[in-house]
Amino acid sequence: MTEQSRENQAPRPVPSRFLVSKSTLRFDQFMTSSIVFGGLAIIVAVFAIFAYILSQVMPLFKSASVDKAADFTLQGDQAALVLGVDEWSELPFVYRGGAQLEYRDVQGDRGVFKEELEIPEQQMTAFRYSPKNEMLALGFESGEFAIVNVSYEPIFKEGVRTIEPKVETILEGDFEMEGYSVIDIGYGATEEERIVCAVLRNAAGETQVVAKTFEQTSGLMGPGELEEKDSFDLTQEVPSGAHDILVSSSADSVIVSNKAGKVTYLFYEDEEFNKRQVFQPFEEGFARMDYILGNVSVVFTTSTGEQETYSLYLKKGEKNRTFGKTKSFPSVGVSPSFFVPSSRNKAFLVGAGNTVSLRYNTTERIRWEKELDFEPRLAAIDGKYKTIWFLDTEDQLQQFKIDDPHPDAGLKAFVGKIWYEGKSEPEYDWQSTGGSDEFEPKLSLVPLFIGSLKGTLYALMFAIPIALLAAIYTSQFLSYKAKRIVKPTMEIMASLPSVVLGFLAALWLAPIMEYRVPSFLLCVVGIPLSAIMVGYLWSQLPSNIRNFFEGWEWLVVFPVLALASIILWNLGPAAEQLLFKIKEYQILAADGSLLEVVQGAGVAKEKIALLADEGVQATYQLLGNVQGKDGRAVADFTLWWSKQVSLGAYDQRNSLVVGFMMGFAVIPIIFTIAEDALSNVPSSLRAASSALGASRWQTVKEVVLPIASAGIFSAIMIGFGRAVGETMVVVMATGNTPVMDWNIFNGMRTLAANLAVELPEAPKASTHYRALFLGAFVLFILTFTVNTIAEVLRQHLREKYKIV
Amino acid sequence: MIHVDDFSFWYGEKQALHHIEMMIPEQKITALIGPSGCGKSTLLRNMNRMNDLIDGVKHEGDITLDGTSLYDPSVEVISLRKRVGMVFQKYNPFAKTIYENVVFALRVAGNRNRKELDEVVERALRGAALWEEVKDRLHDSAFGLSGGQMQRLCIARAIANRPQILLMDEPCAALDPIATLRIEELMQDLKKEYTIVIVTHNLQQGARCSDKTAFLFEGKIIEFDDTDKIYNNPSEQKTMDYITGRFS
Repeated sequence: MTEQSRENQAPRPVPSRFLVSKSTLRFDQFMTSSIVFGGLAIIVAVFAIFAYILSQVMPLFKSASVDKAADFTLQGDQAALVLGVDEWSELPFVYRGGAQLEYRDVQGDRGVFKEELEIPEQQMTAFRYSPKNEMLALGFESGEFAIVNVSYEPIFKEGVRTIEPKVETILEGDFEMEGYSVIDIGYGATEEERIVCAVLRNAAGETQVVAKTFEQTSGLMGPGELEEKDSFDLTQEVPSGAHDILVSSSADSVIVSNKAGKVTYLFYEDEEFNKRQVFQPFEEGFARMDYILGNVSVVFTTSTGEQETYSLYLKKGEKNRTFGKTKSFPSVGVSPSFFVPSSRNKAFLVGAGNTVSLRYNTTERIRWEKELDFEPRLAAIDGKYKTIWFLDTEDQLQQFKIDDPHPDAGLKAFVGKIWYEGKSEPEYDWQSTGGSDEFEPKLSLVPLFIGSLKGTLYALMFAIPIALLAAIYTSQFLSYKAKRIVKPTMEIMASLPSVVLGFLAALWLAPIMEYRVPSFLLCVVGIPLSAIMVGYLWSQLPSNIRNFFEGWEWLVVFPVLALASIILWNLGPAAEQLLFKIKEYQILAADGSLLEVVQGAGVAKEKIALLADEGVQATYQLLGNVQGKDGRAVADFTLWWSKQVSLGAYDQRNSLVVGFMMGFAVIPIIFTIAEDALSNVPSSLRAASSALGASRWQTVKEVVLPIASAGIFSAIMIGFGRAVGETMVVVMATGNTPVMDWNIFNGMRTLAANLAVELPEAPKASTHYRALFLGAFVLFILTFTVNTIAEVLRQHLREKYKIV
Repeated sequence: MIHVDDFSFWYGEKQALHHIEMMIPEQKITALIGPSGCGKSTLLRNMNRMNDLIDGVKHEGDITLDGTSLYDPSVEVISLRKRVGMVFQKYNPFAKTIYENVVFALRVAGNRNRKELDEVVERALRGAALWEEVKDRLHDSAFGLSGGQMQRLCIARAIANRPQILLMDEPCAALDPIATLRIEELMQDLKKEYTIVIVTHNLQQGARCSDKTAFLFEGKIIEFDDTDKIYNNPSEQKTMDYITGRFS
């Protein structure tokens, strides 16, 4: 062995007994890294969920983007009057006023081709094209008219789809007005009936407004011929100088305007036209009026580009729906050159000069507005709301792609008050789906948010006092033996599936409650009172009896409370008989004549308010109790609530039921956490307090509660979190009506329940789907915010009441 | 004063005290000494029924205070504890101000008289030799004090309501020597007014500050006599062995 190698050998080798074994180190390493991984993974997972929800929600707040895709040349000799396009945006057509339609194949190799129209050989003087119904109504100098169906048909040949045009004249006729020519025409249809209305004018400038109705006969093979039924002269109904006419495609209303801007609304029902309303949208008159999808709203555009929407709704004190202003839009600048309603949603496209503006009626928002580098004379939106076609002054077809999957969304749609079509005032409403294509989705999250808070509030109002008092009693007063049974039992209760609770609430509790509200209310008030009474009497007993029961006092209280609940429950009907009698009122007009007899003061007051709106002054007078068949006074809480108090109806599935059952879902959680917090207060402090002569309750109040406050606070917050997110109980026991009130006898719809109910029926990536995600996002943010605030407060409390 | 009369005590199945018999004299300091687990703390804690807070305990025999049994069913534990104050081994002030800690006993007894409370605070804190150190920060949190100060605060808290008897369960175990010295001096002052029973592990402390000493071993009283006698001339061999450090 050389000198060198001897030096290399460590002079004092580490004795193996000081070494940590390899397996210990390895295990330690493994555990450390897996714990770090687990912790990080949870944080990453939460953020990933957050990011995913956000990614689903963000598209809702994007505005539309519209970009030019291509242009195509037409070869017309006359100016185009109508531009239309098929659903697939492959075969646009123009109508130039003759007996031909000019198609342009932009997908295949057919180029420009023409289709003949079977129409009178007359000078065309009026036209109106409805893209939704694919109907072109034409009026002629001779007073004749023709309705042409300009539709498309997809043809599959050898796996290739081509779009074929289909042109069919479904109705031809004559208004039979000598010397008059048609200046505007409208067409509407129901299953049995067709209406054609027109404004006609003679050389002297006199106008006539006429309507013709046709009946759909039924033949052997499906629908047969259209037979003329009636003819109406509406000239007397409308102010002179009629100019424009609109017929709703559902054939129930006709709107006629004159040059001064006066609008007459005629309603067609039972083969009769009734004048419902004459109104003037703009003092200075307007340039055009157009229906948007749904036949409920009409947009008026002035020659200076101002736009206002008038919708049909029921005004106070009126029996029929009439038009009223619901929306207004910023000006487009100059007189409009075209107005195209989308046939998919409530959007419309208006052009003025070089400016085009895509607007959304429901939210009153401009989705897209641009000054183009050409002047569009006509425009069309395809049925899928994917493409806009412009026809410019050079007879060029310009194709623009719309990327606007959620035109009806936006901040205003979710949190703003919106005047929906058909509603009497702006309101918050959630109604995501409707029966028809023309349905206007109502996506306000406000009622759902309020619903969530309402359910939570009522549940916590019930759960917090019971859970906290139970926790205090169990941890500080109950004997150890009983506590060993109570605590695990409550913990098992926490794992009770909420669907079972919901089921019980809906099918067992709600029907009982409906008949026993007074009993229930009596119990709510009476049981705590009787507990307090027992407590007082107990404190008056000699100390040797009390000492004997120490820690087992509940054995005494329990039977008393059970007895009290039985008595109170059975007193309910008697109390109802005494307190909740239904009273009858007579409503008297100012001259003392009897108008009506109603039940309940609330109903009477409403009736009087209603009469006052109609201009009738009335008073009401108590007549007496409503008597049943057996001659006894009728007493029923639910009736009394809805008729006498009239704050809102009594709903069988109501907040009281939910509060009670959801309370049960929340109590065990709050109880367990609060009990732990209370039990963890060092016994040395409790001992010190007892040694100073504090009673058990004083010890709790002065020493234990402050120290446990942080933990109790967390318990309440975790309970809040559970109640806000609780779904099954709410789905089953609330009725799920998205109403916005705090009435305890009414239901609600919570954000969580809304998700559960509607997610299965929302098509992926639709506005509805994303709106539900937004609901989830709001729920997420709500609990996140509440929990963060709670944690900050908890830390503060813990710092304030820390133990040495 | 306190008469422990044939008192036996069990934690569950385990017997902790066997037939204890002793008379605790008034306005003296009585020390309970003995090795760990001999039952001295148990005995002390029975003198104001603090053992009630523990589950599964039982007792035989009796302890009387001025002739009335502590275990009489009609005895209100709360009023008993007002007469028998207690200081614990580990200082345990409440999460309150110094002032509120001292007046706690009066507050829970329903005293709302501000002037009276102020007087009590000063008297108790002077009694616990803490007044000079804290008089300027009475309304600060008690947690700002040092360990020795906190223990004196606990003593002030215990004497604020003027109990007859003060039980001290190793009051200096968690304190440094200087703080210990201050507490011992304090005890000498306090015995002019109170009867003190102290449990101590520290034989020197027992010798220094008590008047009577009881030596407990395995739950039995081996010897109970004047402190001088126990330390200098014990009658029992066991006592002698313990005093001289043959076992502990």
